[in-house]
Amino acid sequence: MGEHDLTQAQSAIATRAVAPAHILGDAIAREYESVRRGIAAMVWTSGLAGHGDVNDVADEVLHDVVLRAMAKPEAYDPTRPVRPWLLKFATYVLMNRREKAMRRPSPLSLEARRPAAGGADMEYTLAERLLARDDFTETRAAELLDLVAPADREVLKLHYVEGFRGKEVAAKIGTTEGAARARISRATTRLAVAYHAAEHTTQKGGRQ
Amino acid sequence: MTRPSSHNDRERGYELALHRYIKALDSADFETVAEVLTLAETDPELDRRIAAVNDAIYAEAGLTPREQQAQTVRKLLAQHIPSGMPQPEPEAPAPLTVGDVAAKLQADQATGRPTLLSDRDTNTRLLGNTTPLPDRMTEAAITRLATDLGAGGSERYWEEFRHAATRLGMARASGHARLAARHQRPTQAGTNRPRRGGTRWQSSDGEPDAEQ
Repeated sequence: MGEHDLTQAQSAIATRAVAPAHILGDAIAREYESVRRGIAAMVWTSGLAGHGDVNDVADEVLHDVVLRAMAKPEAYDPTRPVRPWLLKFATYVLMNRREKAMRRPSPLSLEARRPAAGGADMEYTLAERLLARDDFTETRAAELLDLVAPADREVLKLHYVEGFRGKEVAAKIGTTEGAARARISRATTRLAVAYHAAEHTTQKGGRQ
Repeated sequence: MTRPSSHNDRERGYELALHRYIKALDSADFETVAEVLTLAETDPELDRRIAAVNDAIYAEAGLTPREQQAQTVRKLLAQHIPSGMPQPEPEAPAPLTVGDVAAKLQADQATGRPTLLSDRDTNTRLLGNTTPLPDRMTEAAITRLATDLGAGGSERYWEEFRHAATRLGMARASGHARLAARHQRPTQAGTNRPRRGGTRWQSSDGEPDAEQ
């Protein structure tokens, strides 16, 4: 371990030994609004607010998150970002709510109910393979991109064909980095779904 | 532009992680969300990108920020760190009671928010009850309260009770904080500095504000 590493480690240990509750409290104070927005995003996309107010539910979850985090301040590592640590608490709270919100126990195990493992990775890899600049002809790419809506086509072309990353795509389409990444992600899923549907139709037609 | 392959691999790793995260959010797959957040705990750049996505989805949902929540979280933290945390509020509000929460649930029902028809009698019995609520509205504390009150009620009723109590507590704390802010003097050397939008902390001993 180099001298710099030792100094950093000593500093980390000293910091944690002195006042973990205060350190965590300060970290929560700095990031709480960002964490709250993250929780609200989770509540909104999951539909767990039902007919209630998303902000109200997010506030309740945030309250629980702060309680859980402050119950164990020594578990927080101040050398690491606090936001993902807090958001993980939120996912546990929301998992409990999701289970309670189910009207009857599911006949499927929790594992069975989850989307297929590796599904997201397979979608991304498929899009890369289908649209990679070296492997396609313009006609083939146009056929594939025709499977999706124009808005999806735009970001898929920029990201997979032209090779622009999220920040660059955002600049080109005039939106934020986060919004661009969300559009790319959803367009990737819709392309995979449309592609598999088209392949299935083609195979059915071949068998008849 | 040719980028080094290690940079491309790292970028691709981020893109994959974000796709996984966004898809999991859209699917309410909190387990996968937690897995990606675990990666972000040791990767500040991934944390930053996830936060950008969260902000975008928040904007997409059309949600508006709540300025006073800074005060509410501050109060929550002060409950857990009693020493060394500033307590500028001049007077404590009256503690919330069981009857306050029962009244809130009744009001929610009147405004169309779904409540529990089968527990209406339980809620009616609790109206006007002056038992103070527990300091921490944990599930265990509410369960103990329900037992102590002997009022009956389904598990789901007490879950709704806890949620309503939390909302009431936060609303009251933020209202009290606004009152405290109005009572504070404008710029003064040393201690009190003017608050802006409820997002800055103050310390009573003149330390610099902790920025958000």
